Amino acid sequence: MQAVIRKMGNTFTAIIQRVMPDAYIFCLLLTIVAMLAAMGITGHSLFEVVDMWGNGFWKILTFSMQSSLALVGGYVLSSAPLFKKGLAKVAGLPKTHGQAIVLATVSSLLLWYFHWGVGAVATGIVCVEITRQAAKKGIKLHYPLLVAGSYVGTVIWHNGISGASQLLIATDKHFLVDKIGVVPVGKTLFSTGNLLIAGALLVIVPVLVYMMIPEEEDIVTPKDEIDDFKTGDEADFNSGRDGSFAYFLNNSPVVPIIITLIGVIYLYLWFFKWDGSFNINTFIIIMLMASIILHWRMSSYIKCLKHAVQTAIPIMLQFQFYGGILGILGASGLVVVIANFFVNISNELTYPVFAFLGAGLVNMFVPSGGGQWIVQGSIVVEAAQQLGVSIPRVVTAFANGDAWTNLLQPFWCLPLLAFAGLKIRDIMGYCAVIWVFSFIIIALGLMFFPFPLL
Amino acid sequence: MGTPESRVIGRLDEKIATEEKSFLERLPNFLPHPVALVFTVNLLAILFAVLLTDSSFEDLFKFWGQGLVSNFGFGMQFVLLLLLSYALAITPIFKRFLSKLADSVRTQTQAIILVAIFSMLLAWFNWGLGVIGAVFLAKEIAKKKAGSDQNFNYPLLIAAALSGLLVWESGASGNALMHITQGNHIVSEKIGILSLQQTAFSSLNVIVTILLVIAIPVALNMVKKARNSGEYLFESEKEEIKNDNEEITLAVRLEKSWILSLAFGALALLYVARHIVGRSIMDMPTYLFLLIALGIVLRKEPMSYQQDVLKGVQVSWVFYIPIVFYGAVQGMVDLSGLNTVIAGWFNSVSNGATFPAITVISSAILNLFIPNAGSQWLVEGNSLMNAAANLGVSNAKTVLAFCYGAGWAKLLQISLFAPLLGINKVKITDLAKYLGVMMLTSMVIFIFAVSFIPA
Repeated sequence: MQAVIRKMGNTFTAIIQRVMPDAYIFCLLLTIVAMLAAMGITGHSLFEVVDMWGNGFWKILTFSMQSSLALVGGYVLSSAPLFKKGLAKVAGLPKTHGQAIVLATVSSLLLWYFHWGVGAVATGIVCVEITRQAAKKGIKLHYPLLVAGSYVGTVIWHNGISGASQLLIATDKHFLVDKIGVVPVGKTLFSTGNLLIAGALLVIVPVLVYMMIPEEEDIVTPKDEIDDFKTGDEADFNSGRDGSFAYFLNNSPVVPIIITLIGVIYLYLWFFKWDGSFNINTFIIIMLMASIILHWRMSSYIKCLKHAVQTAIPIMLQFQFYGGILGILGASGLVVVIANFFVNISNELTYPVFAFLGAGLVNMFVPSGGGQWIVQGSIVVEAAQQLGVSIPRVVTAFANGDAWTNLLQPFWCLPLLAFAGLKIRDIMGYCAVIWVFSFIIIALGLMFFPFPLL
Repeated sequence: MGTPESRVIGRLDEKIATEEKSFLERLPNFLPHPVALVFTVNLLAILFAVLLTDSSFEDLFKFWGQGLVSNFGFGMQFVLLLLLSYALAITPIFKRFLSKLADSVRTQTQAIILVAIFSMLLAWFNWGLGVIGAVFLAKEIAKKKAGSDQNFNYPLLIAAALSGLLVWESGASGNALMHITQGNHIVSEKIGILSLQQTAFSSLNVIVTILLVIAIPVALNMVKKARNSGEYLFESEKEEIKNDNEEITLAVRLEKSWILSLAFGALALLYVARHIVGRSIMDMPTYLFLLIALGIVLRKEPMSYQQDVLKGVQVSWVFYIPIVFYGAVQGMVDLSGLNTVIAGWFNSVSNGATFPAITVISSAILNLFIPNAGSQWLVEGNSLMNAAANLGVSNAKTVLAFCYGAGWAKLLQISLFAPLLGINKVKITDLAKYLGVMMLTSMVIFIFAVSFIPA
């Protein structure tokens, strides 16, 4: 069994190494596919398609700021001396190659289960620290697989407690409330079926990743030892003459303490006074405050900032192209066409699987989960009602499809790749193996695990 | 293996290379780094709101959070305006053109005039093309003249190249001017959309730009030093190492496919053309889209566009965190009612005639604390437009006055901006005299223009 899986990992990686371009080129190609489909399938003219593209292009500006901020916060945080010490203890646990890979994978699954924003960024921090600790102990690591293991947790995110579509239909006035009413998370996220699928992934995925560890001679170690994070040039930062007012603010802990205090008071009010929930914005505030206070001096924080911002720039550029693709898919009606296609070929038993596949296909083009539910959700629930499939089951199907093709999509991997310094083609072969096996797990679960009726 | 460096050589002016440091160089002793500064200003805003408005403690934090979160999209636009303009300015074909242009220069006077006019005219359309381009042009001229008998005053050339900073904020790529071209901007309920025709291309701004284009080169020529001696200055221009050993796979072929570049650039230009011709509007989203379109279509390999955008970190990293947290200050100022208090201050110290001039000066001072003019507009915009409405001063004139002040203050903060623009080896003290002349000349023009030319 292990030999087969290992062979799959090696073969897939060899192919993808040759054909998979950089994530930026990948999103250009996706744009072309979406444009051709909008012209060929839904019959729009080139002019119309270009308008849809351009009008959609800046639709996810806010989201790209949030993602880049989470990355910058996480990146600077992981270079803070205090934080490194704490994390080093956990990351230093593994004693063998296999243990290190399994630790990366399990922590990835847990972090993504907890929150997608945390999963996307914190997995990179953990991955780098495991690499560093292993290097200290002289453990030889297959680096691409370690990074792939740190990414595959993404497959579980929409089963997790930050599942966007489930949280959305649990709110009072969500956009499908006329059709399905308010569906509490007890019936979706915490239903037996959903928990079983998540549990199965949590157990089986690390085992699969472990089995893909290649033979001794195929091991690719990290390029050079990942040592401390790069800091800016001295010329970049004039911290003022010693003893001056500016020098005081730049180098004393006063400013970090002030801003952390503001953040802590805000978060206290948010969670305990205003009953706010944990979301991407609170995550960003926590990351930023933690990164500032753990550096203790602004000068230390500022020196890490230049490189941190640089790692986030691909997100700032590429996310806009995904906005453009979202614009094409939504405005041309392609999403509806795809969803209807899968409705037409399915029956009561198979519809959850086809809804899962449909969501997976659309997710290749529109990788951000919540936005996809808004364009696809109404078709999915209408079809489920016609065919007599339970709503929680079909929502879970959609959710899993949305997460599943992340394994073939560089979008969510950009922060991790920024940390790891690899290209998407280095790791996607391994992700593709997990993609194949997780399909089997999820499809079986969607058909046969118990879900509430509603 | 080290990075190959091509050296740009100029000479240091003997007279001005004194030991005494200029005010411009000592400014970083008073003003902390923008990232430390923004958090200090956050605290100040809370204190002011507590003292001057009747918002409750809990409300203040609600405003703070709302401001922070609701300005993410605008903040991303400001960051992209920096990144994409920088990427456009370092387009290889543009650099080759500048290199050719540098050959045409014969005397130092010609060089100053060329560099200054180039910087200001192009900065009117895009700050990156103007300022980044002019700095590169100045370096090229100095490099080409280094071996000849003529000695060019390198700091003077750099100062001329920086003149575009004066025009940046009141040109088509000005942060505040761009921001208010879109429907949902921060003061939209009060002033609606102000198009570039009403602001950057208004008669007031056209006259101001013409006056600057004439006056700055003249002023610089009057103070120039003809003969130079002294130590050499070195500016390093890093050149990339080409990796030729890469195996040509399908993946690599796609990354280098010029067809992809051409197709994307053409499609994006098609959108921009339809937008401008069809609706005759150049708003911020369209402008940013145009920057991407040109950036892609002017490069042979699609992959090199992202690589060049990455280099834009040079100009943007300092402002990234401040842009986010000045968003929180905006929430605090506008939601707590602090904006009416500030508008009241403006009204009490000025009348309809003096308000534009006071706006220029106050905007320059505030820019020291908020060095990104986009963020400054978010924080100050509502207060300023309130005051303008009370005094009956036109929206366009007030916005332009704001932009003049914010642009002017960039020269004052040259110790912050010089490294961002790739000027590492010229001492600020050597620049200070020339910048001082430029600041004086331009401030006279700004004050005169906003006070007497209608808009």
